[in-house]
Amino acid sequence: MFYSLLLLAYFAPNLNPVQWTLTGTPKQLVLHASISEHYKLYSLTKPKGGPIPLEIKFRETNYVPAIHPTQPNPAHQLSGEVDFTIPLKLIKPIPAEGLQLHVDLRYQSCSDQICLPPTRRELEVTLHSASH
Amino acid sequence: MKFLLLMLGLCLCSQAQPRTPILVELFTAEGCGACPPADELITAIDQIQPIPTANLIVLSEHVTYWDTSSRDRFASTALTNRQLGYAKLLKIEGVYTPQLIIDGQYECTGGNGPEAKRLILEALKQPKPQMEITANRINGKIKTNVSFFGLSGATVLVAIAENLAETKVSKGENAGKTLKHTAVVRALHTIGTAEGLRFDTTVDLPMPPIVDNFRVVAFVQDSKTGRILAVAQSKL
Repeated sequence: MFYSLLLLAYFAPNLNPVQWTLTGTPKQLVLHASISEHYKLYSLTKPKGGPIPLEIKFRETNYVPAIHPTQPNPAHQLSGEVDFTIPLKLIKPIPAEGLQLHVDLRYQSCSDQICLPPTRRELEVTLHSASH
Repeated sequence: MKFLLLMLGLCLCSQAQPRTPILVELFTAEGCGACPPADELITAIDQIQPIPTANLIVLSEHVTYWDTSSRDRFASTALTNRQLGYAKLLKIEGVYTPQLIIDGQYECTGGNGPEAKRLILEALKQPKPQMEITANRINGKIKTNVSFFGLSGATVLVAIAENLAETKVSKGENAGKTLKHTAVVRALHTIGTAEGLRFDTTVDLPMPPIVDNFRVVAFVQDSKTGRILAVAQSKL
């Protein structure tokens, strides 16, 4: 272990290592995570104990009562560019002016050198019925 | 241990020189996978005192934000708030572990020995007045006397820290590991504000649940800048 410490190259801490975007259609959303070099994101499959797994919650439960997001592979830690797929089953028609969905994320990330506390992000996406 | 010294880029020097006390605070957590190397580094710094002109007084301060599903028995909200306070004072956009704070003025990643060395040398450029501390266990209390001259207007704090602590971690990133910590803060008290020419105060501090080996660290901190103006320790 001491040898590996000696070889470790230190880099300036990045305190915001995960950038998120949310896009999609009324049938499916794609939540994209762009994870900075050296960092890993604890995924949806992270077992209990220790860092929290990624949590995705919708505020408009009157339109989307439940979601079952999936990730590209079952790894507990993800790095690089990652798409989470969220199939949608809207239980009410989309209003003429469109439907704005608000998504709350809670997650944790680490590098080899630092770990960050649980972080919250709020994202939104507007869906239109024409995009069916 | 010598490898850790190499990380610091230091030599073992036996020549006696006056040593300026420097406070080295490590914000860490047992649930943080990146923290064990920093815990080892702070232990090495404490035991070997590798910079000939510095008396490095260390404190391990465990934060609570990794207590998501298992609890770090050394973590406290007060220490988490202390780290958040440093983030504000040092204009850092957030907190992380492991993080070293040198004399309340400089920060770096907790395991980064070479950078810690550079910052300690920077901190050594600031002169410090001498501070005296005595601490004794009397009737279940820790009778502590702290005295120094000058430094009017600054806050005087006393930390009671377990010299060496060990935990076999059962959950999380460090599950299965036995973690060893040095100078683990078990209580932090504000005992007064320096006023006038001389500060000389004796307090009876409650004994935290520590069996035997602990140290008492007193320091004077400028609450506006976070800078440590004086520091001393007494090992019991």
